[in-house]
Amino acid sequence: MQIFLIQLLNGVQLSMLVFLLAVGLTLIFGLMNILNLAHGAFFTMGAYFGLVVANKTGSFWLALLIGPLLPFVAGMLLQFFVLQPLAQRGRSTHLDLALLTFGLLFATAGAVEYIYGSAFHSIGTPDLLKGRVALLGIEFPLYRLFIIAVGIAIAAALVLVIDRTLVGATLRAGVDNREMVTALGININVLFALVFGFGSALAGFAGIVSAPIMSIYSNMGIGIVVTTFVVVVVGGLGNLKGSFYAALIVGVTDTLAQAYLPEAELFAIYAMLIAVMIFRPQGLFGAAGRVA
Amino acid sequence: MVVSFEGCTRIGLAVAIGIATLSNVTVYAQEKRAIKIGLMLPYKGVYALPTESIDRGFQLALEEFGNKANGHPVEIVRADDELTPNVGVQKFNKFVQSDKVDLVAGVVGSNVGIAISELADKNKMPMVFVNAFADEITGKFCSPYIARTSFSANAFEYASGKYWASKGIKTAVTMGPDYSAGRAFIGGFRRGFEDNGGKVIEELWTPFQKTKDYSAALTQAANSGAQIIYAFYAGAEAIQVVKQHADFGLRSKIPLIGDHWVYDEALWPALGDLALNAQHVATHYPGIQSEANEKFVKAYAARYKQTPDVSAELGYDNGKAIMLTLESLGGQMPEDRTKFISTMRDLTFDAPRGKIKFNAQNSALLEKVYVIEIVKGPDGTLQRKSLDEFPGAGDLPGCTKSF
Repeated sequence: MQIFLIQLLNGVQLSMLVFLLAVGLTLIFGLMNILNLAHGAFFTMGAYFGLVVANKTGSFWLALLIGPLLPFVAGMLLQFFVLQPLAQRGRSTHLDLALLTFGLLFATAGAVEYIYGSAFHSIGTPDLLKGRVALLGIEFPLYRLFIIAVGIAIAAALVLVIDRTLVGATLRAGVDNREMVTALGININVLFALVFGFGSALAGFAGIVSAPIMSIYSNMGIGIVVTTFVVVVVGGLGNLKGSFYAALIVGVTDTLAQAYLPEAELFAIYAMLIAVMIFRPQGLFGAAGRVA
Repeated sequence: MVVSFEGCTRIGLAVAIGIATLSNVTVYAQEKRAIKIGLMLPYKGVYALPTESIDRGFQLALEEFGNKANGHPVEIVRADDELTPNVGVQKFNKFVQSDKVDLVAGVVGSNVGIAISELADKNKMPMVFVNAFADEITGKFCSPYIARTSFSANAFEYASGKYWASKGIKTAVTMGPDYSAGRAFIGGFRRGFEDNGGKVIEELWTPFQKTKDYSAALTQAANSGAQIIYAFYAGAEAIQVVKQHADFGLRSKIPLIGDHWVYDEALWPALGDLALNAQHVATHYPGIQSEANEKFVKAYAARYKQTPDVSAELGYDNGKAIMLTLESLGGQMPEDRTKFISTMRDLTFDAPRGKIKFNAQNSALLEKVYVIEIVKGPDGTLQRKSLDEFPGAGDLPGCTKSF
């Protein structure tokens, strides 16, 4: 039983990492209807920029703070100068954008390999979080508890911003009725670019948060995209709270499958995805008409 | 007398042909026909780092012979198999059809190796594998056109299992990626460990190149009550496993023992102090005291400004075995190309890792396996210290052909 609870905790921790990635993706999809496969590229970009900062300053916290700026700017530029003009020319079906962003994902991995080589890197765990806590008869790493806390804090902050602030209201309005928002004098292109940048920054943030327990390398963003998409679809496209719950389901399923049914681990999540697509194509939490 | 114009040209032509023929002969005498080696390696992607080392070791071996075998220049044509069987097949066909190579060397992934072994047999093209450790390569898929200069998974891991069982380790949990090489390596360990009185309490398999978080498997291992975790991982996966193992405070509770890929030198910068005092088995380390090794380490350091890792040594062995074979064949590929491989099979030479001999299925044997501890040297850098050594095991049976 104790082991099971620890495994559950492991699952929650993985869920929070997945959530950080999924939430940016779901915001972008919900608001702009863009199938952004390049999300993994921003994950990689954030991790590498964080690595550069950490190596220069020796501080994990500065890396966490400054690292996401690069994916933020890159994401904003991508939306404003590439995706937006494409949309205006009517070249923004899901297939068009999937191909474009898929290419970007691999181009980024290639560029990173060209610049940094194919070596593996890592950011050290900050001293403050190096210890372990005795928990249910096992020593649980403090840093993993920190990841859980960060995930919950970001989820709460996003819910507050979107439900309670003017920016959030504008965002929700943009999702529901784009023309009306434009007619009210809001520059929707800038708003979209900001949201795209913010989503990308969250992906980069996830890259740095995961660095102390995982490793940084050129292809790190490619594998992660698939899991992230499963979360976004299960949670309902564009549904913020849905993606939080979906991340929990996916993370815990993945961890428990690895612990108790390793043979099933590879397909456990996908079996769930297929079931969701058949019975609730709008997502488990996709209440119609209420997105983002 | 009138010499016709026609006559002139005729004479001119004859002279021209004569000169051309003569010069041809002289060119032939000076510059013997070149031997072309197709070197197929996964230059990009997850195995890019070990591949670079293999390529360097391979080149170093050729340079030792002045890139010539009995006066015949030896050329390398490179191709990237992308660690993908169908790409490997495509590149192999290109080697045969358009590059017209005399033999193919390299190949890291066993998946690519298995796909290519049948092609080599069909095309009567000598294939000298550098890694491709899967037992089947020189077992079920054995061929008179195929040799391997490294060793088989069983030779390495069976011996390792036997060693740890003899060192008072009674129980172990294994961890490995769920694919052909992972199964082959961990399977070898299990046989060796259990044949000698040990018991594998649990085998934990993680999806290959998929799992990013090993906490679930590590928690299971920590609660299994076993004395050690024996792991086979490489690259990014190895870093994650070693780091997360330490995060959970398991280093003193249940040590993670592995081979030279888990604690590969290329991973040390990412592992930091976690590499310190780790124990692993290896087929080569730079400190081996033998003439062949000291010469190799020195030449490698002079050429590339770094100490060679395990992969560099394997690449060197591959190149050296090919060059020695070519030399003893007078620098020419024999008409019957099985003769190339059978000549290689009869070779015995002192490699940096120890003496290399081949078995009847053309697979090189492992003379020694070294037990290594990673320690801090006098200058503060990490170094390998040999704790012990033991002989490698034989290959698994499975080859039904005779040659």
